[in-house]
Amino acid sequence: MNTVFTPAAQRNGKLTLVQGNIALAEGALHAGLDCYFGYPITPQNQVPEYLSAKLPERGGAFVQAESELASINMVLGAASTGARAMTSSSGPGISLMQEGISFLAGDELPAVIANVMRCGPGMGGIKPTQGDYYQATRGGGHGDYHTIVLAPASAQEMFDLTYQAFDVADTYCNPVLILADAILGQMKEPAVLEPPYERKAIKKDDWSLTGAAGRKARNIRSMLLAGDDQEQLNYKLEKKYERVKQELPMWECIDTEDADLIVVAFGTSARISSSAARLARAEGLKVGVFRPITLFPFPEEALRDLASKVGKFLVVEMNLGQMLHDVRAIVGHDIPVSFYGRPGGGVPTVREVLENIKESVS
Amino acid sequence: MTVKKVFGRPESLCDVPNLYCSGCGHGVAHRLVAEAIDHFGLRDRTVAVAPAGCSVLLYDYFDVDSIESAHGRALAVGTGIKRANPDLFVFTYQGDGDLASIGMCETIHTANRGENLTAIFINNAVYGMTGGQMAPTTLLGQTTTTTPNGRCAEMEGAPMKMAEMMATFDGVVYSERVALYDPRQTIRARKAVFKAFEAQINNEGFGFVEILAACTTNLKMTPERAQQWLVDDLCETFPLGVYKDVMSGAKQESVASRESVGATAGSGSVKHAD
Amino acid sequence: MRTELLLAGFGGQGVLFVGDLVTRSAMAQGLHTTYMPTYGVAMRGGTANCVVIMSDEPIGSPVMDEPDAAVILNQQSFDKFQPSLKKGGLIVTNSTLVSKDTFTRSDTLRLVMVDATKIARKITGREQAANMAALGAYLAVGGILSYDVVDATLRANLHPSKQALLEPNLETIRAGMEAAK
Repeated sequence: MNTVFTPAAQRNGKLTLVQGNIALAEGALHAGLDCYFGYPITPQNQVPEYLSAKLPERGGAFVQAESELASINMVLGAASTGARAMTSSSGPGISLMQEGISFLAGDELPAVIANVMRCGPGMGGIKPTQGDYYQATRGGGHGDYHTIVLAPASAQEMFDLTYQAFDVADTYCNPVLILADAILGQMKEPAVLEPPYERKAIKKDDWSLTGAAGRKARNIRSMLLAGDDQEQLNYKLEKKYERVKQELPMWECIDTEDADLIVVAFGTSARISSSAARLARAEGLKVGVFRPITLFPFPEEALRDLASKVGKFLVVEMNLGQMLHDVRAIVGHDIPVSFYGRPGGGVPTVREVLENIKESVS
Repeated sequence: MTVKKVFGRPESLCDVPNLYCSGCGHGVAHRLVAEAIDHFGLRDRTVAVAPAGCSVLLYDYFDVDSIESAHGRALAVGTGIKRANPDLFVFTYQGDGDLASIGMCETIHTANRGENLTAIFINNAVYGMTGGQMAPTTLLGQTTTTTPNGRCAEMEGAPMKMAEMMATFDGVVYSERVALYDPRQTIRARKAVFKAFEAQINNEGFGFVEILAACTTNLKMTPERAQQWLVDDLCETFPLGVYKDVMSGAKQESVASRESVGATAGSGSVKHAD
Repeated sequence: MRTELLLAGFGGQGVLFVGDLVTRSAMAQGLHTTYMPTYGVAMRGGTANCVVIMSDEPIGSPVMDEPDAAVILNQQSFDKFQPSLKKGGLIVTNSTLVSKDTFTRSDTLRLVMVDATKIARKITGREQAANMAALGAYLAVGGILSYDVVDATLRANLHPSKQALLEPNLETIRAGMEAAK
């Protein structure tokens, strides 16, 4: 299954000029967000600011937490009752949340976490980056687990994928990370702020904590001391991740049919790459773009399929090569995969990517 | 002849053997909390938040919905639960490392927000589960596995007084310190738990009960000796008493006791409960 | 056709407001468009700028590569951004605050200077509307957006508390257009 939502301009519905962060918040509201907990950090502050006004109006709960540690654990508490809960942050804040995200994964609780990436390491800066790819796709915290990672590339997708993230989280009882960046968060773009599909009703009353009226008491935990229970939990999670890999991968192919070279990039990098690929085509080079929309699960089969037809790949990222290693592992050693990236807030320019396309294709 | 049952297991406690160490305070403290749950008829709408520490196992004992929290984050988890569903009755049960060290930030801010929650704080002056290391409440001079020469104020700071601290926050409506060393004190502890539960039931705000208890294993004491230590040592550093009661219906007497505490907090001349 | 328009000035000159207005107008005119404010360190220097991209095709990169045009309201920004414009590009600037002597790319750029601050003062009694005069000049020579769309967009988007400024602002835009012709 590959769901790619229709771009804003081709949709029926009213176009609104909207900042990416606001589109993300609107996506959450349309998904029936019940609770938001967060702590200020640039470049995502518009998310809590907007929700602090809008969420209570709809009867939801907004709390500015004392830290990201508190935010993610408030999310965990709210999620345990069956509520749709989320937080958003960036860089250092997401690092602080990793323990809580590991707990969400171990407890199999659904929640949505948005990371509007800023450059690091350390305090870093507030410029855009994709330097958190490893952290996002490998788990990030302790233990054998995965978060599901959705990577938007437009204001429309900030809305759509956040809307969808709650369904995905509820379906798989797993934390879902929206991996955006400072450009996607700060940029304004026209978008249709109407749900791309009807919200799913997903039952939670067979596990949520509601008070044990008329039933046995429930406990939600990830510390399983008896026998090999902890080992079994990990097998259970692995089985779920396999299901996620079968059912969830999403990607977009741009002009890949006749391509001699395919640029693989996600989020903002994919947009820059698509501009560069367009210029390359104008110069007679057959270049396409493969854009993973889910980073975990990575759309492996789709990429492998392309690799059976296309001879060369170029990976473009706003880091020094993280997704690169996934791409290399998928396409295999026989196919050349080159790389262009800029770290620490550097954003590849269209011209730089074009130069790299020319070098890679020759 | 009819036999009237005057003492039994509270309904919200499971019928399982108590596996805590002999002389450990958790058994009695669990029971007091369970009695309060029964008394107020809360079993069907309670969610208990367990800490990291020995009492993470409270789900084995309490017949109520419960969730495990990361070390120190119980009150954040509790906040999330309560905000998501204000109809639930939520209490956290935390030790001194959890509530007063790694979770101090959450403790202070949850109290300050006046979250409509109840925190049961077990202060036994030592890290129990990890093997007897120094806690934020370890007494001066007390030997632990990480203060082999005894806790020294210059290097490790002085014991943190949570009941006093909690009383300073506007969001806290009830703060009391009690101890589990004799029947009389145990009954006082029971009353304190009931009061703090009432605060939440009446939507009045944050209720806090600090329960002084013994960790016999890490103190390397017999239960009898540990009870004496509670009286002689722990209660001296941590005076018992009501540090704050601004619940509606609070007696004039309690308010007076709060004021006297307010005037002398930290000086040690706090009004004792008995 | 993809046009990258840079708008720059110092904080308080309403550069981001004009950028937003241009973006909304482009959208109303049926163009693809993106708006990217520059934030961060540059803001602390007291300058504010943003980039609006307008295109008749879907916009790939929302990031400024090489601006085709710039609306610049102060000298500091003029000095900073003049070298970055695309060959054959257009600069609309505020001659009240920017000296023509500092224009170093007369062989590769087209320069349009209007007395934006003076025009604003004359019509509205306030210097703040210089951004509107400069916008007017850009509309006259930029060749992308029509005045009518900007007029309608401003009417639809001006905050209710600022309705009294609507007509003076529109008049300032028109005066800016006149001055640029």
